[in-house]
Amino acid sequence: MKLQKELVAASSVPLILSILTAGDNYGYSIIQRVKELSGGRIEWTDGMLYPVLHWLEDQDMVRSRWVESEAGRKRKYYTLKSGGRQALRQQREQWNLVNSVLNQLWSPHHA
Amino acid sequence: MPDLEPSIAAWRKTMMAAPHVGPDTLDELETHLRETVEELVRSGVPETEAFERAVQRLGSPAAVTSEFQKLNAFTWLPATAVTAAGIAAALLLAGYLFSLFQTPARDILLAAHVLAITLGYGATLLLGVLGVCFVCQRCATDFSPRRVRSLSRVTSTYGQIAALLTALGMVLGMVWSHQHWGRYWGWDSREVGALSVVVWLLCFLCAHRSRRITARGALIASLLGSNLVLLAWFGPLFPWREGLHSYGMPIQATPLMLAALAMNLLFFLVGLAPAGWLRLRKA
Repeated sequence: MKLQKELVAASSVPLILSILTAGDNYGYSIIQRVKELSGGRIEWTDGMLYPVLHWLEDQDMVRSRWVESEAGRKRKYYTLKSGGRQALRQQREQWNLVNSVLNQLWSPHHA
Repeated sequence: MPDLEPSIAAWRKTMMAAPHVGPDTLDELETHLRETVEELVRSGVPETEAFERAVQRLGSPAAVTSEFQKLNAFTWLPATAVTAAGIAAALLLAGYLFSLFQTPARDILLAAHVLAITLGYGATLLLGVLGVCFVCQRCATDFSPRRVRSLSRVTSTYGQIAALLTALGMVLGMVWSHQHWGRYWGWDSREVGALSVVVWLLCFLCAHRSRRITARGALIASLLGSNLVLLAWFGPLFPWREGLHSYGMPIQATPLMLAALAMNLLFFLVGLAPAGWLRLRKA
């Protein structure tokens, strides 16, 4: 089962922000992490991630910097800023609320 | 992977032709493309096929650019508001001046001079208003690099319009002055003022073009430009050289003028503080 694209789009910001709470990261690695955690069921078109990252930067939630790896490859790393942490807290509350309501509605006792 | 390079170069060329994807973003996408190709090659996919699949995963140029286009739709509210107000004021002023100077017809030249110089000064003042908005917003939060680039285009455009109109107004004034006063230039207070504004705007544009100042520097410096216009337009006349321009601020309004100059200087100093300093202090 794969997620509907609307849900994939809606969850992209909390997913990215959550991944960045673990430390600085870059686009390719973020996609791999999402794929790994969802068992491949959340599938992003790779090119769609970058506009979201740039939007987060515009909104002062993350900042970026180019870093050269030991192998000589330059990667653009994203770092979570305080605005991003705050946004993530709000997103978390909202997603938890939706999750809790659905769990209650779908529990056998409810019916 | 030497065989990959021509394919990546061709891909870059296609992407570069697409709007809304700057060189920095393109570098980032290219890094991603290379990483995907490497991963696929490691899993046993032939290089040519790996490249095609990586491009497919990244999305077509049209799809990628349409997403970035949504980002570029960013408009800074003060810039939109100031531009709209400037255009409205310019149209009203043009209508008013040309109706005022219609008779006798020869004064059309004077009307054109007044209109051009007023619009040039007005554009410089509006740039200063943008500077004030920028400084205020920057007290709370910093601007992202994308926004700064966008603001840089705005300040450059305003600077060009202001320089062009002020210079045009000055030249038209010189022609009119020659026709009516018998000389092109007389080192009158208002003439010196206009020349100072033109010189200031040219320096501003040169610094902009040579990238000696950032958008932040340009917007903060625009506050000094505002002060220069206030002095040139409403400032005192040279007592030793009264000239033929008699307009200016009445003596009673001097405190108002000084307050405006001081406010601009204050905003200029605040603009030198680090971004988000107000939020940091609250925290």
